[in-house]
Amino acid sequence: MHVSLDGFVAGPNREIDWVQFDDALAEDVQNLVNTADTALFGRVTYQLMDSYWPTAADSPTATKHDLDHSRWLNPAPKIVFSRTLKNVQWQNTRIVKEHIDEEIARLRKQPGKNLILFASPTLGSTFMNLDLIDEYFFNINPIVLGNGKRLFKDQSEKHRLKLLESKTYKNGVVSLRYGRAS
Amino acid sequence: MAGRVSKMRRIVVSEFVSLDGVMQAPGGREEDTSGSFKHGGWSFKFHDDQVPKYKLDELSASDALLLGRKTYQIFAGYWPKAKDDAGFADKMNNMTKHVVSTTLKKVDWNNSKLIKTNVPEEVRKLNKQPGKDVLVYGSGKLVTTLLQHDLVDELRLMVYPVVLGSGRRLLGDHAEPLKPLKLAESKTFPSGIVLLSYHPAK
Repeated sequence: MHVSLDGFVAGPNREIDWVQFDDALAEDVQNLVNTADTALFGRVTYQLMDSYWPTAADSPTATKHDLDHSRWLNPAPKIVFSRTLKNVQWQNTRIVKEHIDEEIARLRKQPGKNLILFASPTLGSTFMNLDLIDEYFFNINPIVLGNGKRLFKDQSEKHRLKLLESKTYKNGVVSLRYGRAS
Repeated sequence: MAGRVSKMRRIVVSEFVSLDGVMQAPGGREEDTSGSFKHGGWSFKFHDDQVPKYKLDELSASDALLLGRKTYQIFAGYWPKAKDDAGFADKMNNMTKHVVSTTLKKVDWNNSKLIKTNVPEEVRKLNKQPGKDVLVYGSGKLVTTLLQHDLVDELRLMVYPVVLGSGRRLLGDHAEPLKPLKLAESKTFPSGIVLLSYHPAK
C-alpha cells in the first residue's frame, strides 16, 4: 500500500493524488498482485475501488496499469469485511460480517494463490492484532502530509517485523517488504 | 554526506522511528514514560554493528546539536556520566548544544546555550555561521517547527522494523499543507533497519 513519510494512506479528505506511481513501480505492484488470486477489502476501500475499477479499462485514457489491474481485479473473488454493508454490485464479491479470523483460516486451507489485502487501514489493524498478516508491502512516498487517514492507528500490541526487501525507485518512493519476525 | 564539511552549514534532523512513526523514548525504559508509554528502549532490541558506526560518522560530520527542551533534559541527565571507547560521549559532551526552550532558566550541560525566543530567526542565524552540520536528535516539537519554517536541510529517519502501536509520533497530526521531499538516500542495515534520508524538494 502507498503511504506518506508520516504514515498516512490518504489525506484529510481521502486524497490520494500525492501517490507517486511510475512504470517501474506499477510493474512490481502488478507482479505482487499476480501472486494472489483473491482480494480482501475493508468497507471504505471497497467502496472507493468499486467506484473506479469496474469501468477503468473502458476509459480512453486508461493506462497500462489500469488495463492490467482491471484484468486481474474485476473477475477475481473479492471479499469485503463490513458489518454495515448490505449488498454489493461488483462481480464476484461477497460480504463477510464477522468472525474474521475463522474466515481467513478457512480461506488459507483452500488451495490457490495468496490473499491480498488492499489499503484498508482499519481492517489492516484488525488483521494485525489477530496476527493474520504474513507479509507487508509498503511504498513510502517522499512527502509529509501532516494529516489524514493513518496506516497504523494506536494499537494495544507491539508487533516486531522482519525486513525482507527494500527497493528504491527513481521517483523517490522506497518500497519496503516485511514479514513476521520469527 | 557524512564526514564532509559543506560550504553552507546544514540543519540535519536525525531520528529513530518505529515503522508507525513513533519517536518516543528509543533509548531507555525510563527515558520518557509520558502518556503511559510502555515501550521505552525499543531501539535497543535490534543489535546491529553498523548502526553505531553510522551514528558516529554522522556525529563527526557535525559540530553542534540543536535540541528541544525535553530531549535536552534527557541527554543532560545521561551523557555527562557516559563513557565509551569510540568517543561518542566525549564528542556529545564537548560540542556546542543549542537548546530551544521558553521555560528553562539555565542550561548546565557543558557548552550549552539557550534559545528562548524567535526560534526560526535564531536557527537561520546558526545556519549562516561557518561550521559543520547542526544535528537535531529527538526534539519532536522542535522538528515540526523547523519543518514548518523550511529550516530542515536533511531529514534522516532510521526506520526500525517494529510497529509499537502507541507513543508520541515524530510527525504528529498538524494542519499543515503538503510538504513534498526529495529522497536523497536509502540504505538497509543488516538488522532490518532502513535509513531514509530526504532533502527539501526544490
